[in-house]
Formats: sequence, C-alpha cells, structure tokens
Amino acid sequence: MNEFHRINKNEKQKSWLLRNFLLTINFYLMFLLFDGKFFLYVIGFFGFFTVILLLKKIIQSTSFRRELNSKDLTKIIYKFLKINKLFIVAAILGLIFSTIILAQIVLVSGSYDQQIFTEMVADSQDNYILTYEGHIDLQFAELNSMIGDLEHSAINLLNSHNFEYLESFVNFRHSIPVVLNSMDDEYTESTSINLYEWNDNFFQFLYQFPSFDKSLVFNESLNLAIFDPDCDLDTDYIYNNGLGVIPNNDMTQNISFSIPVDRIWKTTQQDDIYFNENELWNNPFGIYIGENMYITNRTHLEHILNEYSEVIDSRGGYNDGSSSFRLFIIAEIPDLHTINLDEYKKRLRRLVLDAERDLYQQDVQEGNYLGVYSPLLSNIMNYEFYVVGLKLTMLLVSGPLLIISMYLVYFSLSLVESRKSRLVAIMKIRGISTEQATITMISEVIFGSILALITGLIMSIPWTILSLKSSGLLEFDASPIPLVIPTDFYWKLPFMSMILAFNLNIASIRALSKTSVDSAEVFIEKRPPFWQRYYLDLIGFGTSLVYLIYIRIIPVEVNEIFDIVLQVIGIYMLFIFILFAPLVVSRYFSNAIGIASDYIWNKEGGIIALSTKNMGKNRFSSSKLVTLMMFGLMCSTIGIVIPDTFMSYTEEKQYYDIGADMVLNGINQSDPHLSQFIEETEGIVSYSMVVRGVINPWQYSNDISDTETIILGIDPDSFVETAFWNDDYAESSLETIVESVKGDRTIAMQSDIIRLNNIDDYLILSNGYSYRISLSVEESFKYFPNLVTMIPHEFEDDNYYYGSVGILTSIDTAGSLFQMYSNVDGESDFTITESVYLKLEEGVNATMVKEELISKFNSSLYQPWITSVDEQVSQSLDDPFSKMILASMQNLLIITVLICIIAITYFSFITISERKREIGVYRALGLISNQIFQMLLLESLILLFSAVFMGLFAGLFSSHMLFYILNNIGFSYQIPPFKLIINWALMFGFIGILIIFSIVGSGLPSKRLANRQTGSILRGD
Amino acid sequence: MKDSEFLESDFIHLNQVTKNYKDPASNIKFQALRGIDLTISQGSITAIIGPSGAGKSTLLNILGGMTFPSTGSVTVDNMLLNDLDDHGLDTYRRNVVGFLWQLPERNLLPNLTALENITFSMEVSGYPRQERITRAKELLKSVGLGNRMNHKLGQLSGGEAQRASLSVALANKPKVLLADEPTGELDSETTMEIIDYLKQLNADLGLTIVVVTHDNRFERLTHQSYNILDGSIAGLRRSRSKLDSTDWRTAEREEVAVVDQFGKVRIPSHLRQKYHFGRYIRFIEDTESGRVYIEGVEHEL
Repeated sequence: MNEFHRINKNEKQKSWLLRNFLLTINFYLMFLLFDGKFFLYVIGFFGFFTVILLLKKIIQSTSFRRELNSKDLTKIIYKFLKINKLFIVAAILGLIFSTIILAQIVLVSGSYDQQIFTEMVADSQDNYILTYEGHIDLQFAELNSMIGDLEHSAINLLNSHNFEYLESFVNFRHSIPVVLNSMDDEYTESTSINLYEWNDNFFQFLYQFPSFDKSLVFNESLNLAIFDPDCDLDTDYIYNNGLGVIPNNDMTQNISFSIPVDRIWKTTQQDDIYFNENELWNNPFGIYIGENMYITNRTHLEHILNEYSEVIDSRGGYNDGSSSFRLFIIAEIPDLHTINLDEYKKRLRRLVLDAERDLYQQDVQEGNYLGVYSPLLSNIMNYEFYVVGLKLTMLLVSGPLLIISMYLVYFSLSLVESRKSRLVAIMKIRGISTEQATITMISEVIFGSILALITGLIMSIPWTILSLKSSGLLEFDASPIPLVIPTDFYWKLPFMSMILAFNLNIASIRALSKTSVDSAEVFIEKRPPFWQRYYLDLIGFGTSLVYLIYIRIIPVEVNEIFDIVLQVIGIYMLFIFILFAPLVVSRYFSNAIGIASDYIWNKEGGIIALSTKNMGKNRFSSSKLVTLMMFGLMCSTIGIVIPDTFMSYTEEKQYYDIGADMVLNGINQSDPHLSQFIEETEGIVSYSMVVRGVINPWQYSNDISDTETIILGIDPDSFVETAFWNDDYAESSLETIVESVKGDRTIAMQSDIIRLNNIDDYLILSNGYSYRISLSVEESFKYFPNLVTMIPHEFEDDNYYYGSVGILTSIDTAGSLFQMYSNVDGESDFTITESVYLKLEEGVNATMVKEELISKFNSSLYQPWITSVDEQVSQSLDDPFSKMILASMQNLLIITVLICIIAITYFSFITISERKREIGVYRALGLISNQIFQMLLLESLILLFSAVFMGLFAGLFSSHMLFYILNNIGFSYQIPPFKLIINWALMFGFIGILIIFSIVGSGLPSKRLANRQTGSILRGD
Repeated sequence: MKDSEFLESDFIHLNQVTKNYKDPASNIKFQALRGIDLTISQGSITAIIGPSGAGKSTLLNILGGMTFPSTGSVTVDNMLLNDLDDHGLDTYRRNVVGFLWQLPERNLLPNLTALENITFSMEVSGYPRQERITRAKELLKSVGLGNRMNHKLGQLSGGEAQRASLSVALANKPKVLLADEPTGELDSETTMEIIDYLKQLNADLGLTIVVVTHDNRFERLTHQSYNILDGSIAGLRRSRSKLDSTDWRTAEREEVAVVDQFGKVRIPSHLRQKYHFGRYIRFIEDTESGRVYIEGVEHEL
C-alpha cells in the first residue's frame, strides 16, 4: 500500500548526484569501447559535477561521516554477503555472461582491428611518406628540373622532421595526340603514353598480383610493358596506344619511336579484383623502365614528343602537351604495431603541412596542378575510419547477445528483489540506516562483479577463440582470424564489467535502500514500467505488425520514390516489432495462461490445470522468464536464417554473375587444343562455348539516345546442360528459349532493338514489369533469358531507353552481328569475349580443377582468365565484416541455449526456495511425489514451449520481412532476390538440445523436492 | 480511578493520530487510524487489542518510527517523531525502540547465527565494541539459549527462535519494546515463559513494553490495554491489581471508556446486554458524588 509520502528534502539532491554519477560512468564505458576523445571531455564535465555534489553531501551530512566507521561497516557488509549468498550467485551468472560478451566485443574487434591494420597500413605497399603529384604544362627539361627540385626539397624536409630518407622514384605520364579516322573525317584525339620509373620496391609490389610471373627478377635496366586485360596483343595495340608509332602511319612518317621492351605482362581481371583500390593501379598500364634508362629515355621521349607537337601544330590539330607525374618519396618507417600511432600521425601531418607550404613557392600557372600528400597518413586515417565502422558493426551484431545477458541480470535481480526487500526491512528494523544499506548493497555489487569478472575473464579467452574459429563449423571455408589480446584489455574489461553491474543494479539498490517496513503481508504490487503504463509496447507492436503485414500483402506501386520510402520505413518497423514483441508477451502472458488455465480447470482439472494456475498468477515472474527466452529464441532464429540466406544469395549471385560453375574467359575458340584440355581435365561434366559482346549502337544510329546492347552467342546443343539457370524468375524454360535459338532465331526483349539490329527472325519474350528489379549482372545473360531487364522510361519528348538490353542468339549469328558493327566504319567500339562455360561434378574441388586447367594452358599461347563460383563465394566471405557477423550469429545460438537453460534453472531454484510450503500443502492434501514432480516439470515445459513457439514464430516472421523489404527496397538493385533459407535440421537440432537441457535443469530439482517428506517441507527445513 | 502506582510522566503520547492509505490496485483511499489519542507511562506494559484490520499493527509501526502518521503527533521519550529526519529515525530505531514480530523469520536474518543476529544490531548502532559479545551471550543465556548461540534460524525451534528474537530486540538496551503478537506462534507453556520474561524485564529494568496481542492471559497481566476498533480507540482497560501481579486469573481490571473529542463514548457490549440498553440512554447526574450514571430509556414517550 502506498503512503502519502512526506517529501524528503534531500531526495532531489541525491538523485542529481546519482544521475551525474551514472552519466559519468556510462560515458566512460563508451570511451573504453570506442576510444573517442569526445567522450573524455564529456566524462570530465559530468565527473566534475559528480565530485562537487559528493563533496557537498559529505560536508553537509554528518550521518554520512558517521557511516564511514570502517570496522563496523566491514562486519555489516560481511554479514550482508552471508545473508544474500544465494542471491549473489543468481546475479553473478548474468554478469558473467555480460562480461564474456563484452570481452568478446573487445577481443574480436581488437583482433580484426590488428588484421585490418596490418593489411591496410603496416603491410601496405604504398606506404610512401610523401607523394608529389602534378599536372604541368611544361617542356620536358623544365619538368625534369622541377621534379629534381621537389626531390631535393623533400629530402631536406624529411631530415628536418627526423624522418630517415631512403629513396624516391617517379611515375611520368604525358598526353600526346593520336590521329584517328572516323566514318566521316579524320580527327585527332589525345591518348597518353605512360612512362614509369621503377625500382625494387615497386617490383615487390607486382609479385602480389596473381598472374605476375614470379620467376622474373628485378633488374635496374629491365623494361616491362604492362597491358590491360582487354587489349589484343595481336593487333597494333602497342603502337596505337602511344607506346610506339605505327611505322606506316601517314601522320607519323619519318618519326620512329620505340622503347625496347624486355617483357610484356598482360594483366587479368583477377589482378584487378585484388588491387582495384590501390592508387598505383589506377592506371598502371605503360612501360616501366629502369632507373638507368629513364633519363635517357625521357630525353628521347622529349624529342619524339616535340616532333609530334610540331606535326600536329602544322596540321592545325589538337595538341595537349601536358604532363602528369608522381614523385614518390620513401622513408624509413618504424614498426607501426608498437609505436604510439597518434603521435606518429601528428608528425606526418606536420610534415605534410610543411611540404604544402614549400609548394606554394613553386610558380604554378593557372590550369596546372601541383600537390603533395602522404599516402602513409592516408592509409592510417582510412584504417581508423574503417575500424570505427568495424567496432560499431561488432557492437550492433553483439547487441542482442549483450541485451540478453543484461536482461538475464535484470531478470534475476527482479526475482530476488522482493525477497531481498524483506531482508532489508528486517535490517532497517534493527537500525541500519539508508546510507549503511546503500553502501552494503554497493559492496555486494562490487563483490559480485569481481567474482563475475574473474570468471568471465577466464572464460572469455577460450570463448573468443571459439567464436573466431567458428566460421569453420558451418563450412564457410573462411580462414580464421588469429586472436590478438590488446594490451589494455586486462584493465579495460574490469571497468566495463563494473560499470555494467552498476547500471543493472543501481535501480535495485535505490529501491531496496528505500525499503519501508510494513507488518502486513508483503506482496506489494510494483508499479509497472513506463512502457506498460503508457501502453507503448502495445502501440509499438500493433503499429509495426499492421504495417509489416500491409506492405507484405498489398503491393504499392505509386511511384518509385514513394515505394522505396515505404520499404525503408518497413525496416524501422521491423526493429520496433523485434523490440516490442517480447514486451507485449511480458504484459499478456500471465493473462493468457490464466485464461487457458481456467478453461482447462473447468474442463477436466488435473495436473495441467494446476500447473497453468500457478503461472497465471505470475507470482514467480513467469512472464519475465518467457520474455527472456522468447527474445533469445527470436534472435537465435534470425541468427540461423540470416547466414544461410546470405550464403545462398551469395552463391546464387555468383552464378548469375559468372554463368556456370566455372568459366574460362579470354579463350580462343578456334584453338584446336581447347576441347582436349577441357576433356582431359578431371571433374568437368560438360562444357559449352559462349561469345559475348557489348555494343554501343548509338554511334551507329540516331534513333537511340543511350542504349548499350549485349549480344550473347551460345551453342544451343550444349548450353542447357552446362549453364546455370533458375526457373524462378523466368516465364519460359531455358529449353524453350534455346530451342528457338537452335532454329536460328534471335531472342530479344524489345522489338526496337531487333529493328535496329536488322534482325529478321526473332522472338520477343514478355517480361514482368517492375521498377523494383533492375539489371546488375555483369557476365551472364544480363537477365535476358531470365526475363528481367531495364525497363524503358518514357519521357515527354521521346521514348527514352535507358540501360542495357540483351540479345540471345547462336554463336554464328552473334559473329555476324559483330562483323556488321565492325564494318560500319572500319573500327569497332565494342568488346568481344570468347568464353567456355564448364559444369563441374558434384562435390569436386574447384580449385584443383582450376589449377589443372592453368597447367594445361601453360603450354598454349594464352592463359584464360578462370573464374569459379566456389572461389568467388569464398572470397566474398573472407571479408572481416562477413566473418565477424557470421561468427556472432553462431555465438547467438550457443548463448541462447545457455540463457534458456539458466532461465529454466532459475525458475526451478525459485520454486524450490519459495514454494516449499505450497508443495507441502499439496502433499498434505494427497498429491503423491510423482504428481508433484509432473506438476513442477510441466510448469517449466509450458514456459519453455511457449517461449519456443513464440520466439520461433516471431523470428521467422522477422527474417521473412527483412528479406522481403531488402528485395523490394531496390537494395543495390540486386538480382537474384533474397530467398529465405531455413536450415530446419539446425533449427530442430538447436531446439532439441534446448529442450533436453531444460528438462534436465528443471527436472532434477523438481524430482528432489517432490520426494522430500511432507513434514520437513511444511516446516520449511 | 487513578492508580497511584503508575508513573506520572507520559512516556508515549499520541495526539489525534490518523493514518491514510491508498491501495494502488483499486485506487481506493482508506483511513487505517482515525484520530488516536493515547498515552503510555514509562515503565508500563500496555496492550493493544482489537479485531483484524483495526489498525493495531499500523499503530505499532508508527510508534516504531517505521511509518509516519498522516496527521497528528507522536511523542516518545520527549521526542516528537514527526520532526525527525531519516537519520533521526535511524537513531530512534536503534537506541530507543526494540521490535519483536510474531514470526521469527521477520526477526532474525537468515544464514546468521543467533549470536550474529544480536551483534548485527549492535554493529549498525555503534554499540561499544568490547561489550558486544559479552552482552549478546548474556542476553541469550537469560532467555535460556546459552547453548544455542551458534545455531541459525532453521536450527532453532519456534520457541527458541522467538526467544532469540527477543534477545535481538533488546540488544541495544532500548527504552521501549514494541511487540506484535509475540506469542502468537507459540505453545501455551512457551507463551507463559515469554510473558514472565517480559514482566521480569519490565520489573527489573523499567522497560516500557507495548504489545499487540490476542492472548487474554497476556492482556490481563498488562497495566492497561487499549481496545482499537475501526481505527479508533474504543475502550481502555486498566489493572486494579498491583504491578507485580503474575496470575492472570486473579488480575482485576476495570473497564474505561474513551471519550472522543466530540464527546462520544462507546459502552461495552456486555454492559449493554446486561443492562438492556437499547438505542437511547439517559444521563443521571449525582452532584454529591460527582458521578454521572446512565440508564436505558424506552423510545416511546
């Protein structure tokens, strides 16, 4: 019963002190997790006020000083711990979990942090201390001189900033005019000659590229020409791209230009994939010449360029004589793992600032550019930015785990709070003051935290190692990250654990220390939490559920923007649903069980009725228990579904991107050995030739503004059995389509394209209209056969076709089309790739097949670029974020099993300690041991199965809606769409383990209690 | 009639004390105490009797400083409880009041021995350290638990636990002992032991005792007993015997009616029945003796 409270004039003062204290420690927790300097300022701000308020309290309150009698206080604390030892154990378990999860967050993010640091910074190949880059319109000699000055200046700068200069080298690029002929006239456009000075450092960098010849040894006079993968070395490419001069070109008569090339290296797409973010690789194609030859050849080049310029000038043509260069300065770099990175960054910043200041003195004309930056500093800053994202992701993914474990603490505290309040009331009768009670309870929290911390610390290391390696448990085939324990781990974690314990216990401490004594029987109905009082849980749950069902059932196609907004709101609604569903269960579970209980009771009575009756009264927080387990199971269900769905999606997307199990690109279909190589390779079931070309017909027709056409030529006899195909997205089967191709028809999506390409025999396939789905697939059918393609957008003026459209035809017809385009003006603006699709045997090792093929092709003139679905899937899963998310999902399963077991065990514990007399009465009334055992066990099982059912349902619904929204949101316009994959075997296995352990956890205590003597139970022994 | 053997000073004085509660479940407000006036002399044993829900325990809680009256004043040992802050109340509970509940589980802390329970009270109050163990042992011996000092609650019988509870209540040498049905759970023999012990304490130490009881025997051995009904004092019975009377059977008591501020008086039911009082009575004034008599009156004129 509530009294009319006398206002305590010290109440407000105390609550400000508590608020400031809580803010201070929680911001400190944020600082420990994220290392942000901002948090330090905030901590200082709130901490200052906390100290002031505390001092004020101490000075003002004589009673507080009296309570600081340490000897007596120690004895009181000791007795309090003795009284509450069982409750301490109850609270510790949850704290241990929280500590383990916190430790995991710190250790896993620290391990990934170190790996990313090593990859992005420490082992980076472009850790140049300074890089000067310029785009200058100068004659060569002047440019040479400028570069020399810069070099000299840089060396002085490094010395003044205590950096040890090692060496430097230059990359140089000059644009020269090249005359081209179009259908209409002769014109000049600019191309570029890339000339690089290189050294051993850069050579080592090249070793990392997959297709680079590892047997090549660096030689200062070695000249290496690097070409892009799409170039055709059999043509005049080497000359047409400015590396040389066509001897018979009219424009360049009497001019010969060549740089002796010792070795040619043609890169592959694979090389691109590995290093597409490396700035050096932005335009690596050109000639790399050794230092000794550079000066000679630059001089020679200068001569040629000057002659070129004269020729073009005389013809009135365009002459872009600008040059661009990069001057790389290399200095000694310390071991970046061990230094103070912040200090080093400051040094680098000062160096760059001074370098920039020096540059201002250079006379750079308008239109030219000269700048300096530090790639090393950029790498460090990129790494730091990346790591913040990593930590946030880690926290987000581990969030459910942390919430579950913290809720377990909260739940156990709330279970014991009413029991503890009785003890505190007795202590208050005996004279303990509020301050003494508060200090005592804080000491209990500290003691419990220390125990939890020690246990958590010990268990966290093996747990984290398991989670880092756990990607292998589900055959994701990703290499595990090694565990790295940060140096500050062992002092950070105690603080974090203590702060967490305080956060969870502070409400309890406040409530308990204010316990008043009431001689009436105590079951005081606690004030419901604010979300229940204001029905926030119902509002949130109801709104989100209705919204999600609405967008699921009723397709909205007002316009693209509106529909996307609806889906984005759906994401937020999903979070609200996941958050509020357990709260609604908490509100109504007891009532629902009560209704069920009344029905069963009236119907037939019995043990089930008795079991449900007990839970209906919610005396033992059955609602909270079910909420806890339901939330855990919901998260676990999502944790089972998401990895499998993403895995399946990743795999299928690779299939759509690649086209078959394995594809050999860049082959020569007329190679007589090709079929032999393939047929001799083990593990290949079938193969099919494919030719693909990408054409921009706008150059040839004024009817279309901007449409790219992809022509895919297939061999209809072997295509069906070899290529990847999914009926889910197509109206026609592949057999039907290919039959048409066999009949020498061409398949297209829009008739206009057919008309433009002058194709006579064609078939137009209908497609499903939806602006949600768009093209993104690169290599495969461009979704033509899958009947999904870019939809024409109609504008007011014209029919405007935007994007890519596809034509499927036979190889021969495709060849004719290509020929047609190539004959238009003597030059073609399209690329043609000849490929072979391979179908592999089930379960074969794709890497071994690939290696065997590579070895066979070593004897031929070319090496195809081989891609396989298995390899691509492994690479995409090798990303630190992917691994982290997947590992955390698996942890979720394990934790939830443990949480549910502990929750059920808690329930049994409470049953034993609180219901002895009740059970004694049952015995006195005539229930036998078996019946009591059944009743107690049934209670646990009803709780468990209720939680399993609700958690499973909510989890599956959430997962389904998540992927439905992702599909419809046009999320990167992905194709294929996500398909929900439920690993039922894992699901049922997980639930089975849960049930078994829960039965054991609840059954044993129940059996023990049920078998005790009636008299001893009633006496409360 | 004034008993000259009672002490003159009012040790405990309640003046128009009310206590209001609001039940959060039903939102109903009700008054547990409706203007209680009572005085208790120092060194007396006072019983509070009444049916369930009359407000006895509420009254005891107010006297024990565990809850505040809604209105009215409570003075104990010249201390106005209304004016005490939290620290003052703590001191009051430690040093002035000893509390004894009906159930041992409410008196003794679990997992602590009898001795530890007693010393706990001393530790929170700052009782001189060197005397604690000695006093605790003495108290336990005095209640006959000399050989059960190191036993915990679960290892004591009901009577032993209650005796240990009594020792705990007396640990800090309180000036007043408040007991809420201390013998309710006990057998007859143990009850009389407790009663005798309390009377002994009262006689030896002058300990003021206020006890809520249903036990007729106990009630008859107190100096005065207040009858509470529906939150108001309905009557008072005082002992005519000497203070050291130990035989409840021979103890003589006089019934005293309480006149409230409005002049209302409740006539005990046995008198109403004996003298056939109906709805109306007549007051007969005897100026010579200075007494007023009452007699029943028929309604019809």
